[in-house]
Amino acid sequence: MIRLAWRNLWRNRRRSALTLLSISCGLAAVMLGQSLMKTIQQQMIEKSTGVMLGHLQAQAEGVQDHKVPEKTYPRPASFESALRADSRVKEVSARLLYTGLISSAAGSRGVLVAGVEPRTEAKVSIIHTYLREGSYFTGNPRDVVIGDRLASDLDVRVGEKLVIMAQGPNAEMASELFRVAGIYHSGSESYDEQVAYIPLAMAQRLRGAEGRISHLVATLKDISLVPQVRSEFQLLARKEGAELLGFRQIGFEVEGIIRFEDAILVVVLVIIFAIVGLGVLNTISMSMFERIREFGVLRALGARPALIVRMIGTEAFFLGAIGAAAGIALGGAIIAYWGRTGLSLPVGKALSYWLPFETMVYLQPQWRLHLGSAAGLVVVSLLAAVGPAVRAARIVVAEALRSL
Amino acid sequence: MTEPLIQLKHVSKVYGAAGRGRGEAPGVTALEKLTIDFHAGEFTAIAGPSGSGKSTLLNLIGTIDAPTHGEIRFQDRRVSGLGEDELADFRLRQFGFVFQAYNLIPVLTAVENVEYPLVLQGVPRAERRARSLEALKWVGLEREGDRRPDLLSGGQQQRVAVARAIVHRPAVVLADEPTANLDSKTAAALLDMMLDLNKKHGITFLFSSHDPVVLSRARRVLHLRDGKLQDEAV
Repeated sequence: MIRLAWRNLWRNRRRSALTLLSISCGLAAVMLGQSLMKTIQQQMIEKSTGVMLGHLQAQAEGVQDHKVPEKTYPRPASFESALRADSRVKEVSARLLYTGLISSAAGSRGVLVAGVEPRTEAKVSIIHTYLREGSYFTGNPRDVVIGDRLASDLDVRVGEKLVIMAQGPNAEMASELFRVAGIYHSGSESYDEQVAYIPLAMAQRLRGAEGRISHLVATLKDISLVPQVRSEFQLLARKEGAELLGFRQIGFEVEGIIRFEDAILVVVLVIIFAIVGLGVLNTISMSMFERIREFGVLRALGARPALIVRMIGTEAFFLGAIGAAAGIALGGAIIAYWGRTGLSLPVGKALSYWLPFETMVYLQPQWRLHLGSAAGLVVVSLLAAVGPAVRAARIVVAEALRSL
Repeated sequence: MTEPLIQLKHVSKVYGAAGRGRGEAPGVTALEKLTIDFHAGEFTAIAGPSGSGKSTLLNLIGTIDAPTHGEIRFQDRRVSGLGEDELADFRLRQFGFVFQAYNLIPVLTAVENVEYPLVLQGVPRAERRARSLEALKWVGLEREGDRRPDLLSGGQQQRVAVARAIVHRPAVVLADEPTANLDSKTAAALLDMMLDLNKKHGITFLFSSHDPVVLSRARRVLHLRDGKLQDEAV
């Protein structure tokens, strides 16, 4: 039966080839979409966790705006030690974030003041990798690291002075003098124009918040362990007045975009599956109507109706499986090509206001998703054949033998 | 006299009879109250003009169509009313079919076509290949086994069809106008071959035809007209 089904498939080579082409191109398109979306999502997660979020953040309990919490809390020593001691944790670093005013002789700009611990911050953040001039902190407590847009707005270069002004605990304004240690270019307008990094101790002094922080940021060796580690350490964080959040809770915009893109992928998948299903239905139906007499012969010779169903099902399986295999090869080749040369997309520019984002996307295959889609297409092919197969099995033998 | 192999008792076939409502045209009667017995080893022709019911009678005997009225018995077993799967199994064991238009499967070679009933019976590959080649030898086509039907002449295709009909040793071979698409010489050769198989191997042949030359070879001829048995010649 398998041999017969296989040969039946190639009776009308052009029709079968066109169906296989539609299945393989459909799957390749799905794979391309999956790879593109997931590569962009991975970049978004890498960039958002890399520049600011980290994998986990401990913030003061009851904070409304997780991005820039105004609430500070005493540095949670026991919790921090426990976190550092855990083998799954790569690095832990404290931050104090608040808004302030940065001034040079040329002018002033409102900025997010980020008090960081340079040594550990370099392991939880990727900002230092974007450095264009100077150093990522020199050890001087009055170092400030800023983006190139801000440096241009303030007309300052490495080694020149800047004043940062911020509100102290009792609403009085305080200011400190800093010297530009380094200038970076991340490609994100907001980071390059609106953030100033200074040492944590100086940030605490300027704010009048000695011993207090707004974030304790941790990165893990494996990002997929975030929910597990968060759940295990949440109780300990709460004992010290903090709440432990994963990057998905804090970076809800990223999460929203990922969900939106996933929904688009599902819609595309359904449309492609429907097109492929109709293509297979058409091929199998045409093939069935052309062979009514043959089915009559097979039934007359003693084939049971179920055998006819199995034979048509096998033909549909071959169509789906060969189309899926060709689609995997085609899609894999396209993804490999754009994975090597990169795909220039305007999405990088659209996202770069709030995240450093590459305009060139290097596609990565998502084999679990690709193989799932391929299996789905085979199932769709089989489902499309159910109707024609049942009709073929129900023919009246004598009538079928009379058909032309 | 031995027990009949096949018995038809008051068998009628009316096309379009089922689901006929008031005011609709009456069905077309293809066969009317036929009562006939067939015995094992017969070489019987069913004769009659086109539309006389020859094919319908063979279809009813071969269980690929069901009578509207009456009863058909095979080896004293009632076959009317069997389910689709039971009928398929019954046909596979008891009948071989030869059709006017040969009806070989075009994507299979001659030997694969002959093998098909044995595939359905689950006969092991080596045995079915040997039996198929033997059947092809009986019909004089042992050298054409690897050819596909489109590379065979009409006469060769019909001989392959005969090999397919006898390969699984059925009780009866039903042949519907087997020589209608063949020239007279090829038709005579095919008839001689069928007669030879009947004599040598005891295979029962029931075939339809309206060709007097073909009918002259039959040992028993049933004449049908308008669905009724007109006369019988032995």
